[in-house]
Amino acid sequence: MILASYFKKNQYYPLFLLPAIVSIFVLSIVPILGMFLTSLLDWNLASILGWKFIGIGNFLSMLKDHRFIGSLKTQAIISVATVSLQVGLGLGAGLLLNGMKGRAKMLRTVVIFPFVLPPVVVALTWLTLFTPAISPINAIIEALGFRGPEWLAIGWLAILSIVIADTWSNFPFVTIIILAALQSIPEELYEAASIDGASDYQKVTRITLPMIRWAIVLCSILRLIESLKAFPLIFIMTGGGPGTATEVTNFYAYLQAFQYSQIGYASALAFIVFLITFLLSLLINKVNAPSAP
Amino acid sequence: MVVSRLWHKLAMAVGVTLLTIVVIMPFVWMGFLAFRPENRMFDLPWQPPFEFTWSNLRAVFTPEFYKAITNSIMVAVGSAILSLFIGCPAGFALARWRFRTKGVLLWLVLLLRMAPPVGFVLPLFLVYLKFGLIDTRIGLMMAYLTFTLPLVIWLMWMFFSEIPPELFEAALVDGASVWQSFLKIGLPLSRPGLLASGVLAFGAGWNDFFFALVLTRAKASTGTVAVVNFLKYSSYDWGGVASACLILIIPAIPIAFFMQKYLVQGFAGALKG
Repeated sequence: MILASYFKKNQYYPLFLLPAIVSIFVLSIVPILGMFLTSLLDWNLASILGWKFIGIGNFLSMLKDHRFIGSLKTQAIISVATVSLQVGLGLGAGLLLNGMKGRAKMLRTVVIFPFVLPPVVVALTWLTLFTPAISPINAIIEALGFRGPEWLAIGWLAILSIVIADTWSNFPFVTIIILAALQSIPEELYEAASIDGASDYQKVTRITLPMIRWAIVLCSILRLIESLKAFPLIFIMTGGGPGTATEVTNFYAYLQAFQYSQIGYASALAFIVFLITFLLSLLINKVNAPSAP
Repeated sequence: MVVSRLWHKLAMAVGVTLLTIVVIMPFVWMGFLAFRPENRMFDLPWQPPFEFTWSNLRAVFTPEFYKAITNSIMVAVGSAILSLFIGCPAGFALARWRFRTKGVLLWLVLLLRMAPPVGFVLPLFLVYLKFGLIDTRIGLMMAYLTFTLPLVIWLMWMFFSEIPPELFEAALVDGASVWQSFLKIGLPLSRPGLLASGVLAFGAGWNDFFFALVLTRAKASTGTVAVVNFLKYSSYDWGGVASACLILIIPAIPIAFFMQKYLVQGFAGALKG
C-alpha cells in the first residue's frame, strides 16, 4: 500500500463527518447540557422573577416529593409489565412464525403493523377500545351478562389498559428480532436432536431457547429503555390519571414544565429519566462484551 | 406420526390466525368507527342495520386538519432529506475510515437514539422561545434531526460497510478523490439503503407527537397533534378521530415494509457496537 498518498486522502473523511457532528452537537449535546444546567435552577416561566441558582435544590426536593416517588413506582410497574408481556408475546409469535417458513415474509409485514403506527393512533385506537360508551370489548362483556369495566377510571385498570396498549404496539419489534435470531440457529442441531430421539418440547427448551437467549436479553433491555419514553399513550388515554395512577416520571416532568411552568424542577426530573436510560444502556454494553469481535 | 404432524399444522394455523386477528383487529375497529354515521356512534357494533357513511371523512378535512396534514408531510419530508444530506457522508466516513475512537462514537449515537425526548425538548423549547422558532415548520424540522439523523447515520453506515472495500480501493488507486468514490460508487451502490433510510426517517417525523406538541401551536402543528384536537374540542368526535387516524395510518404501510426488512440489521448493529 502506498501509505503516504492513502493518508493524504484520508484527510477528507473528517469533512464528511463535520456536518453530522455539528448537527448532533447543536441539537443533542447542547440541549442535554442545557437540561443539566436548568436542573440546577429554580425557574418558573410564568413568574416575573426569572431564574435562581439553587444547585442541587431541585434534587433534594425530589426526594421529599411523594408524587415523584410515586411516579418512579408507576414507571417500574408499567415498564416491567409491558416488557415481560412484549417479550413473552413476541417470543411466542416469533417461534410461531418461524415454523411458517415460506409465508413468513408476508406475515412479517403484517405482524409489524402495530409497531409502525403513529403512537398517537395507537393511543386513540385503544382509547376507543377502553371507553365504555363506545367499546366493543365492553359491548361483548355486557352481552354476556356482566358489567363492563370502567377501564380508564379505576387505578389499576388504567395501568392495565396502558400495559395492554403498549404491549400490542411493541411486541412486533421483539417478534422480528427473535425471528432473525431463530433463523441463525443451524438446522443440524435439530437434526442431530431428532436422531437422538428428542421430542419437540425438548428441542425448543434445550436448543432453541438457549441459542436465542442473547436476543431475548437484548430485546428486554432495549424495550425497557424505550418504555421510559412512553408519552402519547399516557397523554391521550389517561392524562396521568385517574389521579396520578398512571403518571410516570417523564410525564410528570412534562406536567411540571408545561402545566406548572416549573422548568427547573422539570429539567431535574428529566435528568433522572436520562440517568436511568444511561445506566440501562451501559447494561447493553456489559451484556455484549463477551461476544464482542 | 401423521396425526401429530396434522395436529402441528392445525395448531400453527390457529396460532397464526389468532396473531393476525390480534394485530389487525384494532385497526379494523378504527376503520369501522370512521364510517359509522354520527347518530349511531354509540350503538352496539353488531346491531343491524349496517350503515356506512363517508360523512366523517368529509368532515375531517377541515382547513385546520388539512393544513396540519400538509405540515406533517412538509416537516417529515424536509427532515428526512436534511438528515440524508448530513447523515450519508457521515455514515460513509464511519464505514470507510479506520480510526480508533469509533466504538465510542457508535455508542454515543446509540445512546442519543435511546435518550428520552423529555431531556431534549425542554431546552429546545427554551431556546426556540428565545429565537422565535416556536410554531415554525423549520424549527420542527430541525428538532426532528435529533432522532432522524442518528437513524440515517446508523443505517447508511451499515449499508456502506457492506460494499466490498476493493471497489473503493480500486477507485482511489486510479486517482479518484474520496468525495468521488462516495458519489460515484458509494451512493449508487447503496440505493436501497438511501430509500430505506429516507422512508424510515420520514416515518419517524410523521409519527412524532411529543416534539410537535411542545414546539408548535396553531400554525405549524402536525397531523398527530391535530388529531388530538378532534378529541378535546369537539366533545369526543369519535367518527372524526377515527377518520383522521385512518389518514395518519397511510404512510405506515410503506414504512412497515422497510421496517421489517431493516429492523434486524439496524439493531444487530447494537450487538457489534
